[in-house]
Amino acid sequence: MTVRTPGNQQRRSMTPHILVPISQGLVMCVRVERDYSKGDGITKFQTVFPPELEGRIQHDKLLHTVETLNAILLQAETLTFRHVFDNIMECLTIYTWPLLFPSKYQKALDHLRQFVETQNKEVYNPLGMEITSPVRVAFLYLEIKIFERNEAS
Amino acid sequence: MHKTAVKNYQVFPGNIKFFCGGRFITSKAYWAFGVSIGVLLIPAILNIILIDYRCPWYWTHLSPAIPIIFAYTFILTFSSMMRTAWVDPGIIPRNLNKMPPIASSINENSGILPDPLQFMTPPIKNVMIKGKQVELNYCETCLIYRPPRSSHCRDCDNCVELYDHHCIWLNNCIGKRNYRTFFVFIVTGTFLSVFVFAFSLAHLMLLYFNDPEQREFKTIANNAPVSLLLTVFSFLFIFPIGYLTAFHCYIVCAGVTTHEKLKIDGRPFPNDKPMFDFGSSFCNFIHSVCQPRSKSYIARRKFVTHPLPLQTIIMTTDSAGNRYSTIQRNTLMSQTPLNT
Repeated sequence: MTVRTPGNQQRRSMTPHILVPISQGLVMCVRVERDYSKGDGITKFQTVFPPELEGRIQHDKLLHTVETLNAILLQAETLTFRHVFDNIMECLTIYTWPLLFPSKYQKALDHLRQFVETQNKEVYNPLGMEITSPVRVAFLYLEIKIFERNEAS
Repeated sequence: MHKTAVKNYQVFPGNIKFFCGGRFITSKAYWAFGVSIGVLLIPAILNIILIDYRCPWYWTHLSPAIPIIFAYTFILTFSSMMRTAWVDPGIIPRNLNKMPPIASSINENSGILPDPLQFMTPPIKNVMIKGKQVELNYCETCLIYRPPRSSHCRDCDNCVELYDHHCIWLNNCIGKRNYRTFFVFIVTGTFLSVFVFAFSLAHLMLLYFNDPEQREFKTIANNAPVSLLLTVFSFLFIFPIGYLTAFHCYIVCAGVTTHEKLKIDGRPFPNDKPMFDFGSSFCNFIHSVCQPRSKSYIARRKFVTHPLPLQTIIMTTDSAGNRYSTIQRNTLMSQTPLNT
């Protein structure tokens, strides 16, 4: 599907540009994008270390965060007999089953939220960074905000 | 981030209406939903309440199971209908990939302001899915790169995840979060039509055969007019809802959504296999219908939070390893691809 652009501009592909140097006191957001390579509908983030975080955080800490998030989501979304059973019972009991037995997915999302809070508190906030929960952006990306103090002031 | 006193649903853009304090959503064609409610409720009322001799008749003459099964199926159909019609189908939040104004390259000190209505062309964004490179479409209304299998609904004016179709009779889109309840609704609706047809016809047949003196169509029609009406109405109704159920069973086993199926059918030389096929009909069925229900992304009842007015750079990498930087100045954002 082609996108109609205002003024019929031609769609440009990725041409290289030089990053304009930004002075201190600014906030940077680094996004870790979704990995759709498996195509099985399970939410997964790319385990690629963004170069902008070089020197700010150790590789293994960030990759541990991303890999744990991927593992939580894999366990939540992989269809097992328990998922199928829960769904069938939900339909047969006229949607009262989830009130009595919370679904595995909901528990996994709570676990994910707690994990992000713990990681922020223990790892990222001391380094001047923060991970935003991916739920609010529909799991399209994982955003890491970098806060810098303005040393000039 | 600072919180305001306004909830997200009160300022939500898009052609949908929220009610009960943002808990439920619906689109704008209320008349169609009214028709659907009428089609479901009126025969049920006729079958149970108004015809006061019918349920005792079934209970005593045939079996007590018949009214019980009817009541259970009717409640399941009705609750599935409500859960499909009033639930967020998987709307994707807006403004996640805003493009900069065209004049963003103008020097900040020149005093020339960028025209906020002219935005830069969004760069092409590709992802790898099962070894193939797929271009993600940029939605100019929602200002996002739509994930695979999502689409923008023109009626609701929202991008919906795993978009199936917009159902005018339910006055809502069918997407990731409500496809299962929609499927249950159409299956139980078909069963209910067949059930009402079968037992209304049985009532008429038993009246015909039980009373040898009154074996005339006119007499039976006078004695049981509502049974006759229900027989005819449910028989006619079986065809559209049965076709819809058969169509959805087919596409669920094929591993495609309605939207994707219509796109495939529209091509002169359709491709052989859909991209998201799991190999067998059973696996496709389980994956379509038994997916866990994801959380609503639009946070309807949470308070609106505004980012603080800081200058922000956003760095992102696509699956081919290309880096993008996005600069946010107050409420404007610009995007510039980088050397990899």
